[in-house]
Amino acid sequence: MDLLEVSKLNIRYRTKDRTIHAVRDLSISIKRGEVVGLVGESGCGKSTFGMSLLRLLPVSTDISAKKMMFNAGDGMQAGGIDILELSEKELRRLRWKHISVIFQGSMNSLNPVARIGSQFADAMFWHGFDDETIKNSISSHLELVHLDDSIRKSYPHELSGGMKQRVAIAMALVCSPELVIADEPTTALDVVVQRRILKLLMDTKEKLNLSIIFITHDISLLASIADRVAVMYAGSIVEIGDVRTLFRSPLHPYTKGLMSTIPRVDERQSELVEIHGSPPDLSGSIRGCPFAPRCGIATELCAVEMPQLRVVEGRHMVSCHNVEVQDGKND
Amino acid sequence: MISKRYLLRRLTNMAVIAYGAITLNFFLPRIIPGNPVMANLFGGGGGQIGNPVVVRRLTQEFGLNNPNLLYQYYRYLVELVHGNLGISFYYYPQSVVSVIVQRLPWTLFLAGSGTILAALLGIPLGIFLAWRKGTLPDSLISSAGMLISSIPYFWIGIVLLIFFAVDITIFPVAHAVSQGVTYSSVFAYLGDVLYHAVLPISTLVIALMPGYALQMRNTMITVMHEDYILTAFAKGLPNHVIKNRYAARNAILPVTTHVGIALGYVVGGALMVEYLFAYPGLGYTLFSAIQSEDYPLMQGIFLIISLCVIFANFIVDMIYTLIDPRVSLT
Repeated sequence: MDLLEVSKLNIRYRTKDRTIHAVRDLSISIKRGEVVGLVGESGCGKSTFGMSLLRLLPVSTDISAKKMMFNAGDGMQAGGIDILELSEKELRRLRWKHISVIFQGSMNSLNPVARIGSQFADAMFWHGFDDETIKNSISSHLELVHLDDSIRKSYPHELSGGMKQRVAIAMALVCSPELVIADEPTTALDVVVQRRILKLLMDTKEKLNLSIIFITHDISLLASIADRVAVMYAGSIVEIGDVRTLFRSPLHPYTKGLMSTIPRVDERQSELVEIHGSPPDLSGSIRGCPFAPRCGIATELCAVEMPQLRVVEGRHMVSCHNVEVQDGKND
Repeated sequence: MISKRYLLRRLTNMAVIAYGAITLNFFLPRIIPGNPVMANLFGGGGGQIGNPVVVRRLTQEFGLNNPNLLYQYYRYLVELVHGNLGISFYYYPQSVVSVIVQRLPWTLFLAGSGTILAALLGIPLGIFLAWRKGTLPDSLISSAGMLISSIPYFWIGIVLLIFFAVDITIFPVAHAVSQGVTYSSVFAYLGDVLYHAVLPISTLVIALMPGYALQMRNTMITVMHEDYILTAFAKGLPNHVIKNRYAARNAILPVTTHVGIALGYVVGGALMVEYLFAYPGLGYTLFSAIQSEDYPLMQGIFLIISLCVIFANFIVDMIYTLIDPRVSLT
């Protein structure tokens, strides 16, 4: 049984005058110990999906799914839990203890008026850990991210950006969750620090057998860290597969486009290729393939019929009318 | 905590500002047209107006015989250092210091408890409203708060006075204590003081509380959009912890400044309320001092007000270094 099983997830933001359909029929499964990269442009719904796993979206948001199961091992009821059915109280138990988050703007994700130590401690305290465990876990987790134990007495403003990011990682792991949602955890950092943080995250992941959903707009970042990569466009996954497969033979025109925006030094390349146009407005319903208006190989069919995700080979799936699928089986 | 160097710098700063305030306090009343000796004679001894001997003696006593302003300023500073603020024209022959000493406690009690009570009620109300942003209770109470804070506060006093002291006479119309009464015990006296203070303090609380509540509400709503609040929710913390330890704890910082500085203004700020209820505090005294061109008393009261404001700022600075770790102490 996979750790997380999501099927046909739809998320709609309701505002006064319109509804934004941010996530459309998204299905994905995540195995224990697996790192899945979620990549796409700003506004493609990748963060919305991440936050929905902890139900951290505004109350007015509409979430529906055929299935949204989290199958944690011990400590939780057998057969998994339905995230959408949880009460306030059960949600609080799920948050951080089983699924935690490393936030995008981790510069601001720490309470400026509380000491680092107390920000670790409050999470653990409310999840029922005793004082002795809390004290030891803070030390061991700070060590895990190569921070000195003394910074537990520091305030966030006394730390550098990289240190705060490492604090955010350590804090996300302190209650030993099974799944961590890393929402652009390194975007605000310079490349040197970024590399160090990523390596740290991967080392930690190995030690703790974590599953990670790594949300980013930088597809090149995923090559070294992800087991699988899912490419999102306009609220749906357009291609998903093992990281090697996807980088070696991307099939969807959008994935190909993303790949060609990566600068390469080992090949002659006169200029970077950009994907023309911009993503569709998600407030209306979309007819046909959402990528069709920007696609170089779109046909008449693409304009009228939304392609479904189909298996290409093994775990490699793609939603495009113009990609030959081996067995031709529709999913 | 607070370093010696920081404290010394703040104290020096405070002294310089206080000197500026003292200087302004000396020169400003002298811009008012009119002659204090004549004002004094009109006020107290009307029969002596034409008497040159009395006029000369008063001029001497008030230190006005040398028309050189700088010389008067010099004398003012010297006397100030000796704790002498002169003799009140209006309350002649009482000294300004003794008038202030009599009146100050009443003002501190009235306006101080009014402001503190308004803050103690307003801040929790603001937290309550921010947490329920956009709900019916929030819309109703916030609108009512905005309405009340746009009403001049003496008008609120007048309404309370007419209703609770005139129409239904459950509270006294004026004064801080009952006139011509001997008290059986100290508790009876304190009870009488409280009884007289209900209406004026209520006026201040009603006038000030909406301001604190709305400021707290608005700041906290801004704070609740911060990333660390989302983190707090993600951590699975109970709502009361997120509300108090994360949102309110950060939002209270600017409100503290507001309340602290308001406390500094308390000394002169309740002027209209004191006047309305004939409450024997500094505000009421200042009012009569201005009416009677009582320069020394005016100067004395202005001085106390400015020093209180300066001191309150100093205290706010100190408190800030304790409650906001980001404020540098060096």
